[in-house]
Amino acid sequence: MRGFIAFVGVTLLAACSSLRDYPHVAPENVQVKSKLESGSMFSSMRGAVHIHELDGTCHTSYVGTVKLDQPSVALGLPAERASYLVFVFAGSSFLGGSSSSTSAGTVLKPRPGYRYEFTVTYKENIYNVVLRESDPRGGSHELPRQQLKGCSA
Amino acid sequence: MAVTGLLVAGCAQQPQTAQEFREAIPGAFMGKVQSFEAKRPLAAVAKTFQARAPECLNVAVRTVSQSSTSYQNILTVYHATVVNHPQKAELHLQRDFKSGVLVPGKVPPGGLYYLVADATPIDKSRTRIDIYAPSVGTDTLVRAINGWATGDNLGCPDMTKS
Repeated sequence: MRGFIAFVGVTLLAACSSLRDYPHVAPENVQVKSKLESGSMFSSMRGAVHIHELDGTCHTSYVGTVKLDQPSVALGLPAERASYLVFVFAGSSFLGGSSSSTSAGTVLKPRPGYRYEFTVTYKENIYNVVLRESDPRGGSHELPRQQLKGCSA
Repeated sequence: MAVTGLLVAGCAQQPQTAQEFREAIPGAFMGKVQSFEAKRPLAAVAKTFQARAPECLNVAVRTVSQSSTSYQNILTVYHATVVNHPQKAELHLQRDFKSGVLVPGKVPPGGLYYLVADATPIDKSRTRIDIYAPSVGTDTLVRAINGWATGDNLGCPDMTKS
């Protein structure tokens, strides 16, 4: 499967009735900071992150979704278990009723005691998902996005 | 947008290699060659192409449009290749229409050539980028490649806008 699949047209983020809120998991070891701009007063851009569990054979199981409707949201991912996070950028135009969405996924297996921060941006049709890992002693470094294709859960 | 690439090729034979694509674009209807300079050495530009192109461009895009009289469902799979030479880095982007589009002529392995970007050194610290692509529908893609080359923006282009 490719790194991500984008759907244009009839697919609407909000229209997916099968979506459910991601449950509260303690500790909240992941922070997602987002800044999404549609670039036009005639359109809007919304973001969300779908969280899937990964089993030992890298099969995904949908757990829930967190809307990126605040500049910063926190969530908890189970430590030492691989999760697959799919960031979705859904745009819709007020004129003509068109919509589109694109997404970027990454596998994350949190280490106990570590904190993770995603910086997610969408501006002028260019998006970026940057992940940083902070160790308990305060050091941090950027982690590359890990595709599901190369999963080794 | 899907039509754009086909218009570039026109009724002639589809370019079967990146070199054939380079030669076809300047004289093609809706074809364009854009050049700019990146204030980074070739090796740095090549490294960024190698890192970003597969992650950002190896994607599949489904386009669905519907009206009262028609329904269109197109699945396009993009395939990016980065080729590094001692004095040149090449980024090739091909697109393979898996459904919804009838492509005239022979389609090369990996799909129709959609964009080719060549990076060549100007001197030790500057690199020239030449992008061969359709003049319509590739603005976001070209801006993204520009960002990778200059190092100013490593984001991915939203390929639903390409």
